[in-house]
Amino acid sequence: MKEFDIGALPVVDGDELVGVVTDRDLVIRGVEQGADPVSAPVSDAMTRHIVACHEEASIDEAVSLMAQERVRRLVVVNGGRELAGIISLSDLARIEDSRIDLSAAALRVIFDADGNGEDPCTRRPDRRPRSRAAGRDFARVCSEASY
Amino acid sequence: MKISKIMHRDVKIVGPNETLRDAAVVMKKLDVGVLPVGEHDKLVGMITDRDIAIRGIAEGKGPDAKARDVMSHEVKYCFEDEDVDHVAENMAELQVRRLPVLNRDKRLVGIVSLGDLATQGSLPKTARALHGISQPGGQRNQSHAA
Repeated sequence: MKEFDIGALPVVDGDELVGVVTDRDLVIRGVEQGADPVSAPVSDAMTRHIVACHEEASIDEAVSLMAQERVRRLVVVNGGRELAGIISLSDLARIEDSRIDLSAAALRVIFDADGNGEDPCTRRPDRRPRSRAAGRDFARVCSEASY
Repeated sequence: MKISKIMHRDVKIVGPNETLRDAAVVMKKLDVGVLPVGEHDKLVGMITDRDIAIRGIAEGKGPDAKARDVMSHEVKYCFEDEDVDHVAENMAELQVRRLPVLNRDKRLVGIVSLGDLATQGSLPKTARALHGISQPGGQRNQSHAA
């Protein structure tokens, strides 16, 4: 995280995506519990619930999913549900010719859920989504059980 | 509108000699990612969850390390009698999401976030501020604001 100046990393076990860990997770679930930073495993602090979209999803659809799930980043998976990438609101903000109402969607994502400026691609467990992804094939909300 | 009308007055601070664990406990309890560091009623720094991760954990510092070891000493702030729109523009320029609010005696009296500006201030300006903090290479939080 320090080397690449990023705040979130996917966690894999072999080829299998098993979670996501953010800088905040390390603090709130690690340091807060008094965990030894040298010896505590990432699995103690990571979030197992992954909010993901398919790599063929449109940008509109990704933004909708972010707003719906109140996250700023999505894990992107391929047809085999393998990790294909990560997309963030900042990535979307860089699209110059954006026809997306990004500000409204982003404000919804950040300020509905925000308090703090932390940047998880995982939903906090104490917050329920306003609705599920409504069965649309572009977006999968991948629970721990589905992986 | 003045910042004092929309800021949060109930600001929890940590002391520079409190531990990273103490700060993490407060961050979790309040569900926030940044806390002012105060000593003798003066603001001496800011500490974020990312500071704890990057300057603490990544450097091998344990939960018993002191807040002063990872906090940012340089603090950006605004004054309580400043105009909301002006502060919103400053936040966009500084690329921060939160600012401590001081009175003219430099005492910490509150904290204001982009969220406060969005819900109670000027939306278009907040959108600009949001865009500002979403620029590539933007600073992630106020602890890194140069």
